[in-house]
Amino acid sequence: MSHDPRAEVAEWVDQYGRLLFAYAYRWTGSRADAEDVVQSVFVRAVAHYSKVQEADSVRAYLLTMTRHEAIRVIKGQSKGKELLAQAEELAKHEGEEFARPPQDPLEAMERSDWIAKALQQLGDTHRNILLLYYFEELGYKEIAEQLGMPIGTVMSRLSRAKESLKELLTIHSSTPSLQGNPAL
Amino acid sequence: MNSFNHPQTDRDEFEHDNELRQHLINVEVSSELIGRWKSAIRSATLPAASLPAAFVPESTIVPEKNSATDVVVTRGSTSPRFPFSRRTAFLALAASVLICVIGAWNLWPAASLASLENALVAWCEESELTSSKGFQSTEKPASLEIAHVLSQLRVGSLSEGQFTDSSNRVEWKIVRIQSGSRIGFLCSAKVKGIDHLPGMLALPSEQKSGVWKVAHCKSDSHLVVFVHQGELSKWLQPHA
Repeated sequence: MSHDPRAEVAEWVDQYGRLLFAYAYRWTGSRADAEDVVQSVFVRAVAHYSKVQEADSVRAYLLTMTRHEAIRVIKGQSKGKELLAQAEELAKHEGEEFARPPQDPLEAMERSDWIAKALQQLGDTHRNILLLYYFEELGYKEIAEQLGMPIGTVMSRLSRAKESLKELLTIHSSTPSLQGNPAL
Repeated sequence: MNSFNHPQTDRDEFEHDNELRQHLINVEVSSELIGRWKSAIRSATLPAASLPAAFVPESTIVPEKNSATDVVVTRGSTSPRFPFSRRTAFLALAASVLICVIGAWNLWPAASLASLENALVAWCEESELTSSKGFQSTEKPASLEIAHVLSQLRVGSLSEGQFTDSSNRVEWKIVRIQSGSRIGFLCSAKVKGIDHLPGMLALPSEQKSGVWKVAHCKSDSHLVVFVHQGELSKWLQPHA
């Protein structure tokens, strides 16, 4: 016996790791969260190896897992962050000073990523449609099923979302101060 | 010049589509990160059917309970840590309790330290029933650093930082709170590495005697750690 699924999943890291990271990053808007999401996906892929392997497309399966995990992280954060924000607020009221650690270069990169900002500006629905379309390469019908909306709505919103992103891209490329995004 | 300025044909449209796709997909990923994922995979739990016949874990996670709240955790090097089903069940419970806490919180007109304490104490006590399992950190530097931070914190103060524990980067924020004899630390810890879950901040490796009363509750990346005040002083003493 002894085929070790971990070896195969490690190969998937080479094949799909970057794509999954980009996908997770576009969903969460945070590199740190995306790192965790992708790691979690690969670890789950080991645990559910046979299921992933039997899928029509491993790539598609992993992308779907990434989406689910990213959404789970986003939802969890909104709850936890609220609690932590309350605590931080209290800490400030106590008048305590605290030193922030040196800025993480990855965070700096994240902040300068205009694509991430543009996606935020698009709003949830447009962003979701764009991501499903460009990363998972779903068709109108599949996107409509995923998001529970009519196909016509998906088509019009995808079109609008693309136009918005194009506009932002045009603005970005014609504004020298906005160029040089290290994430690209 | 950017080709988006004047799309005129279907071919243009197709190219623009591809260009947009590339902008979305091209995100820098370091080889270090790739290595970290592979490392996590190496230590991942195999599906039961894939385990070699001779595979016998050296030990399994067995929490010893000295009292209703005492928690001691040992970990074997090949132990199947946190089976997903249990972990998922726990996270679901923790999340639901947290929702209740936050819901209740919103009813209070003015947030105060006391209300924060109460909410967290309630949350922890509820969750403790199902979260009496965790990991001891075997990384002294991490334990020492956290212990040092905790010793510097006053009630209500906030501290944050990051360190590297083995190959995993840990980013944390801690708020110290107090309720009666209990001192609590609300921790937001971003831990890169599945091996380092709740308990890392709470249990230095030297403490194996079970005297620690520790409750930790984890909801995604946030965890709350409570220790009893008397025991905190032991914890903060220099390592033997």
